[in-house]
Amino acid sequence: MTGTSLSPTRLPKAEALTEVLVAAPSVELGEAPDDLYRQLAAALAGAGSQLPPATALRVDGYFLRTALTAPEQLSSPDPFEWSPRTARRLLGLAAVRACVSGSERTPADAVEHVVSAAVEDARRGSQRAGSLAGWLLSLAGGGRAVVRAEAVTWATQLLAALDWRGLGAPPIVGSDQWWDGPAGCRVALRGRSEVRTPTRRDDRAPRSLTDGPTPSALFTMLGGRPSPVAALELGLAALASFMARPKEPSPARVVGWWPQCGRALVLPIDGPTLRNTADAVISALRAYAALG
Amino acid sequence: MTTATSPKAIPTTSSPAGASCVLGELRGDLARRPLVDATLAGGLREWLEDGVAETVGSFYDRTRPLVVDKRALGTALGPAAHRSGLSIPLARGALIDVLFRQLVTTGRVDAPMEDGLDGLRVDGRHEALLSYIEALGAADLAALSEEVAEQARVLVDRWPNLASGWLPRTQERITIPLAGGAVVLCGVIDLVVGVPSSGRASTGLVEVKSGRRMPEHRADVHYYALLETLRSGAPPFRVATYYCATGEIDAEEVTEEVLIASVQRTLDALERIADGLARVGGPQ
Repeated sequence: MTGTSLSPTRLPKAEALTEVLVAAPSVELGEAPDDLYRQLAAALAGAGSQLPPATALRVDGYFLRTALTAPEQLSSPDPFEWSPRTARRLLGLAAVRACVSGSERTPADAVEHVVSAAVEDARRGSQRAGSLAGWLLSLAGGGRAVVRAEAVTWATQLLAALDWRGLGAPPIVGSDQWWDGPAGCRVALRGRSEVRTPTRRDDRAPRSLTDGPTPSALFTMLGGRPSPVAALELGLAALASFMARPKEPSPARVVGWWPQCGRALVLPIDGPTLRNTADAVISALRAYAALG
Repeated sequence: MTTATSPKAIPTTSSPAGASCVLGELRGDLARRPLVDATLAGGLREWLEDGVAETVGSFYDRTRPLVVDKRALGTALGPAAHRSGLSIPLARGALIDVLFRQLVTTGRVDAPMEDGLDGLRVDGRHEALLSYIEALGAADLAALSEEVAEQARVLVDRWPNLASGWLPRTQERITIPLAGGAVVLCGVIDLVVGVPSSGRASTGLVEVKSGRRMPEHRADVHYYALLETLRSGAPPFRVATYYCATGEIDAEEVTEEVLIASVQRTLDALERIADGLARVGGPQ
């Protein structure tokens, strides 16, 4: 499964990324959504039943990439801790939402407001233990400044990635999808995407592509450079979305953007792509189970 | 083999600069911001790819990429003054980097040493450096604190408050894979300002130094200009090195000549690295 790379030299980059994101769908699912959903749910639940007893797993992009490329690293996972790097996306998404809605003018202003509001919430005791707000409150000035700086950089990269006025309808900023499976299923999927936006309707396209609601497109911004399994990571965002919203059209495409290296990958979504991604998830679960 | 040097054009050097002077140096002459040559970034990348294939080609290993940063380049081209290991200058530099970030983001530094240490602690990746600082003797620690406080004072006095519309972002990481990921050029830029290019050069890069002015600092910012060009498809219009000890800023425009010299210097360094690999029979 491979995606299509965008020309790394086309300027302005945001315009090119936005055009490809919202373009009319180029492929269709190609099979009955209900049947596809049932088959994939059964396959994923079946793979989950092969996990060691009392194990339940949430498959996200990190798990998928690591299990497929370096599974031994999953045997001693680091416990989650808040840090500038783990906090930047949550804070950055809130800041970008504020900028896109027009309530803040710049990422720096927006992040300052988001962090101040979170600290104030934590002061009032309205946050649960271990929350981001509680952690922010616990930091001294120098530490909190680094968190803000990291979030500003992240938010600026996302804001600069797209031509927001070129998105037809107001986008959803922060559009992760979870699928928990049927009762007793020990596998959950988490698909990460920063932006969900409707695609354009193309009246010249075959009727099968234009009937019904307009499919959405997902935009995901990732760190570093594309891994050898980058297309599968993008596919996971679409798979989780399809499984979580089986009554809605599947996403038409996922656009991955790696701002550190200026690379973009476009993955059109059809039935075979979702099946390939589910197969990769099942392979990842097997690799994890084999660790013992 | 010749080692490329930085182009001869002299950067604008200001004597200890006030905030408005620094702003002027960062902004440069708006009328001189060039249109982007759409073929430039692709050409530079192809040149690098060809050079990488000729030099490190036989050592390709995508599972263990050769990661090249400014320090690796400086070391390969030696005689390098690049620091290695933990030291007071390294600690000072890390603390000043954190304080610069804080100043750009929040507009204030209240307690330099405490803020700097808090900033290093929260990051979670500086345990060894923090242990080193904690283990310093009283005299060394006092000297470090004094130096950090003095440089922070210079920063607060002389660094301008950048309008948020300049989109200042700190510690921006750039990672350029070559040869399918077998060689990775990387860098972390202390400060990037400006919106992404829409056809005219529009970003500025700033590197902050806590030590004294060194000749290789120009090559460092030229390398960052090259990375930014390869990443975004457009060269920055300006690169600058800011010296926190004195408040001086060296700024210059980014020309094609600058980028070409940086490509040549990078390839020269890679050739030396490849020679070193050949002597030991490949990556260890």
